Amino acid sequence: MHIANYLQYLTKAETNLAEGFRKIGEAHAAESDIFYTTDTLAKQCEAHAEKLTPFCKEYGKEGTTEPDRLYHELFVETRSGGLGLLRDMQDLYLMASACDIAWTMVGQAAQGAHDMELLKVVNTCEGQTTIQLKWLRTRMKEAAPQALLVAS
Amino acid sequence: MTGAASTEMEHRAIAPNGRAFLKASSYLLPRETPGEEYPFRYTTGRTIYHFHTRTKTARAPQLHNAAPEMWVEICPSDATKLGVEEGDTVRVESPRGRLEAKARISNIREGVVFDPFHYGYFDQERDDSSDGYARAANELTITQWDPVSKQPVFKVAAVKVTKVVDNADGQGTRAPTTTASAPVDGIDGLVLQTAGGSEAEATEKIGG
Repeated sequence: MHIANYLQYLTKAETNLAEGFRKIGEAHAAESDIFYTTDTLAKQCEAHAEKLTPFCKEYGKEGTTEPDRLYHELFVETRSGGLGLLRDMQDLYLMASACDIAWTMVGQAAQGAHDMELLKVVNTCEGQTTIQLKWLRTRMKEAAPQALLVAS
Repeated sequence: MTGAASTEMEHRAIAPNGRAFLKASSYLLPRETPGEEYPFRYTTGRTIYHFHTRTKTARAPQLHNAAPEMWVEICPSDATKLGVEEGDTVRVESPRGRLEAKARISNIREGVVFDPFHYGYFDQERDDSSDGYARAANELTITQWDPVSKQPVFKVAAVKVTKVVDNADGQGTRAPTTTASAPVDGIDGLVLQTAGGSEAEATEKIGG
């Protein structure tokens, strides 16, 4: 049984995504909406990780380092300017995608194991991760024409 | 937050058929809540006599006279604690900015401070304070808006209030007495009552 592996993966990925949101929000604090929304979403990710913690304990340890590798690949340093914001948000999109698909996998495992408590957590959090992705897409679309065509 | 833009496919999938949809979103705590340093809840809004920053309404004498200058509303118990009386000048500060205006003791809820957002700078000389300006309510509000509707967060912030000077001229604050900014009983004698006066009178004869 490898559900523990995915639980650890997801918990770590959510924690890393929270840090990513904070880091990028602070780097682009001049964009007020980015600063406040990333802060809200960072808190949401932290709450996700917290909700998963008891299940990580329950299903035992099976370590995974992938989310950390992804984190270090993506969020080593932030960028500046319009194009920098776009690229930073694209990194957030990748990390959030990792969370999104992991929620789906954990959901499948929870259904298979008839773990209704875990399923409840998945049902609450999965939708929020989807909205995080949608927000990133919306905001990136808004920023793209200026950053890609006008800025020099 | 309410979320993000939906795609055309998502919109079609719910088969709108001309219906409008109300989308629920879960409750989020206000970004700022009153605490030790900023103990008052700050909210901004309108008065009936003005529209936006008064670029039109300040030019209509009756409307201008009904609400000619910025004010700060606080309730009697908060005013007592702060040592503030009707007509005193107070400073309202948030983590982002400050303003100074005369206080109106009104029937506002305890712990809440209200400011009208109509008073900007278009008709005001730059004063000699360090940042140049100290009047607009939105100097204090949070620069945040809903990601999709762009509705700004003008209704909730945290502020502190301090008295600057006593009421020098012995007059009440020039806030309308006919609306929510009406003074509490007992001080209304001090206050100039809002009235249309002869300027507001009009006659019209139809059919010669």
